[in-house]
Amino acid sequence: MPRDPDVTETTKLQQFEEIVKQYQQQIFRLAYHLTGNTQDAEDLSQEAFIKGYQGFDRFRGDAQIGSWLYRITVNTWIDARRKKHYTDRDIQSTYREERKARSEPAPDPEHYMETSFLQQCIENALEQLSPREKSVFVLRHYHQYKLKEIGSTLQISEGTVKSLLYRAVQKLRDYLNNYRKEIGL
Amino acid sequence: MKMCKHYQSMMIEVLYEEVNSAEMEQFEAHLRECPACAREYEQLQSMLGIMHQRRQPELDASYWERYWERLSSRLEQKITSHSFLENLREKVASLFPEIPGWGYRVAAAAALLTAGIFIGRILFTPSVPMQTREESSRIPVQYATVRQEVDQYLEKSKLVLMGLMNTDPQQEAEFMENFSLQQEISQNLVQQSGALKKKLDSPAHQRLKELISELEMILRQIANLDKQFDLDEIQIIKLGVKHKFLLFKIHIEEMKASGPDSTAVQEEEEQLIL
Repeated sequence: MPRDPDVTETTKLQQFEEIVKQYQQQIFRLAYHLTGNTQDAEDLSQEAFIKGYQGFDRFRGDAQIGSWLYRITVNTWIDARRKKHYTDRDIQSTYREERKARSEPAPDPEHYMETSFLQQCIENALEQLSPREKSVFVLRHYHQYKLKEIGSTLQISEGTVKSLLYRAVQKLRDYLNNYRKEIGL
Repeated sequence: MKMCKHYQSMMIEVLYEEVNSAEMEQFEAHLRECPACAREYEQLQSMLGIMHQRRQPELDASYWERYWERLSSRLEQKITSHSFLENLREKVASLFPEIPGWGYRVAAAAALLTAGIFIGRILFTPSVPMQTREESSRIPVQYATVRQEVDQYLEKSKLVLMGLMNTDPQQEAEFMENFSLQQEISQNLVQQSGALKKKLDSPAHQRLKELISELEMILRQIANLDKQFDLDEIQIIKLGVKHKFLLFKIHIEEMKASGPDSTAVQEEEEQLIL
């Protein structure tokens, strides 16, 4: 019986909508941890879902959908970084844009300065990492992925994961050490 | 010192609680005896604490409610462009079912080579000798006029169809305003179709004639839509355009018409005269 391409496409789209709704927050959060702002996170997460949809037919059930989407997101981000798609943003102006988008009142100026200095340090420290180091660090530190899981998600050996994470942590410490007094390290 | 190196490399696993209890005990025992490693461990621990203070995205429920909506509109654009190529690929594959995977790569390389030769001929061929120009000027006015009419018909049809395919009636209010103009053009084109097909009444133009018939059918559907048309009707027309590869067929005809090879035109012209 000939298959109707539109029916197939509609069914596929409906199935995919369920998956997106289930994983949108996780994938967005990962995208946010990689890019550092909501605008790029929205862009990256959607790009990752689109790639997921395009490869949905080839998705093998032996992998977890979540891990599969995580891998697509990280790879999409690494590719985009190579092409310099996501540029470093001025973190303070990003705050203002995001607060404005959420219609929040401006915080107490002193608190704002302190928070933004700390946040600036954290973001700058993360910028010291290579894309692979940052991906591994983000998955372990913010997403509680075990080293083994990171290896299988990113399709690299556990030893490589460990050495990337080790290098990442050393780089972060070296950078933040410059501001130890200010940030209370 | 050797032991310090071993425990320092273990610190990451300890910090992220990826060691078993025996390893943990050994590690703690080493820290009690080695102030340098204990300091290093403490520093890393407090640095990771700082990294935990990284701001997290705070987005309200409406952001997530509209997430799929935003994504699906981007997806739709991708599907439309992707499925066009995909259908084309499937069509080619069904015509040549025996071609293995590498066959497509060879075909792609051949296509690239052909395109290179084609571009090379256009860019690097010396200007057309006077004799050839004279020859081509001998093409009867009859065919040139018909071809001109066909080109205009295809160009106008393409504009109507592209306007239809690239516009989302649910999102753009302008669509409704412009649609009456598109209907008017469609109506005019439908009226021209019959006469044009008669002029192409030769076996050499069978394909072109079929294309005009297909376009006529779609244009008639556009022209006949009521003012209070349903959005589903637009969707059906769009599917018709997509499934019949109409924009692609028009593109092929345009390429043929703008091709530098006058021989094909002459052959067609001869057959037209016959």
